[in-house]
Amino acid sequence: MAYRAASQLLQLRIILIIIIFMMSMTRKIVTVALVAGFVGMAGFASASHADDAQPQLTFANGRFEPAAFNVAAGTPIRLKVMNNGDAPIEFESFELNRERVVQPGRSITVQLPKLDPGQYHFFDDFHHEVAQGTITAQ
Amino acid sequence: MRRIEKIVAAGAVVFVLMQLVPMSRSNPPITQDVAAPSQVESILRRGCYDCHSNETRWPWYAHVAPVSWLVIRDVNHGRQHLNFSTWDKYADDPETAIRKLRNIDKVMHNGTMPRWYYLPEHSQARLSDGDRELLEDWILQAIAAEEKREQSQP
Repeated sequence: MAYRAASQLLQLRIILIIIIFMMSMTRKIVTVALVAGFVGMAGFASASHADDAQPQLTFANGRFEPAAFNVAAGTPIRLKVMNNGDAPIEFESFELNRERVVQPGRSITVQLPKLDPGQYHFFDDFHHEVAQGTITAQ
Repeated sequence: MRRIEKIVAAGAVVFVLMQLVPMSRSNPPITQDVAAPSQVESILRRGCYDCHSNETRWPWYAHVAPVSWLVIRDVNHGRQHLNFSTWDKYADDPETAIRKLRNIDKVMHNGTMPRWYYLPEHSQARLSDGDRELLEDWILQAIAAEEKREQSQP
């Protein structure tokens, strides 16, 4: 997903160079300002879209952050789980059929299949006192 | 009516009312059975499948409350933690499958499984040294296969 976004940005930059070459100085300045704004917005949108497929979950201060987040239904998800605590945690979800240990200071990537719309709960099986979290697929 | 008779009557009423609490004893579909040699599969079936699969054999006492509540709870919890009948659900994340296999090895060695209260009525579930050896060999091979599959994933 990130590779596709970078390829699109490169194409936009090439188009920009061609346009600038063919125009006068004044028009060049105006065009650069407008197109740069457009490219910036497109890049931001692409990056945001890329992040949707790889959400990040952090365990810190005895809890998951964010405790609830959304993902796109019907799309495979690569969930990054980072443990910023000082003890191992076990990211587990019965509904997602996932069980993974994350050592302190390390991160893992959990592969999730295409999810049907709905809510999927997760928890730390090593620390049941930690509040569980929710992933909403929509 | 004497006091003891009142207590017995009240107990009987409570017992009957407990039977009316709706409880689900289902065997959902098998999506993919865990791949294992026939000898290992035999051990898993007699020692683990009643709680950790969708092929639960519900005994007569699983229909009599309050014992049935405990049986159903154990089966539901067992399936949540590990289900040999839906092994494909771990397939997208080989590390999860590896974790499940390592957990099987751990509980087999530390004796927490099968549960002690399961054994009196299911003596065939008791694992011999030969059973443990076969299971361990299979677990190691299965973990190696999952690690290889993980490395081949993009």
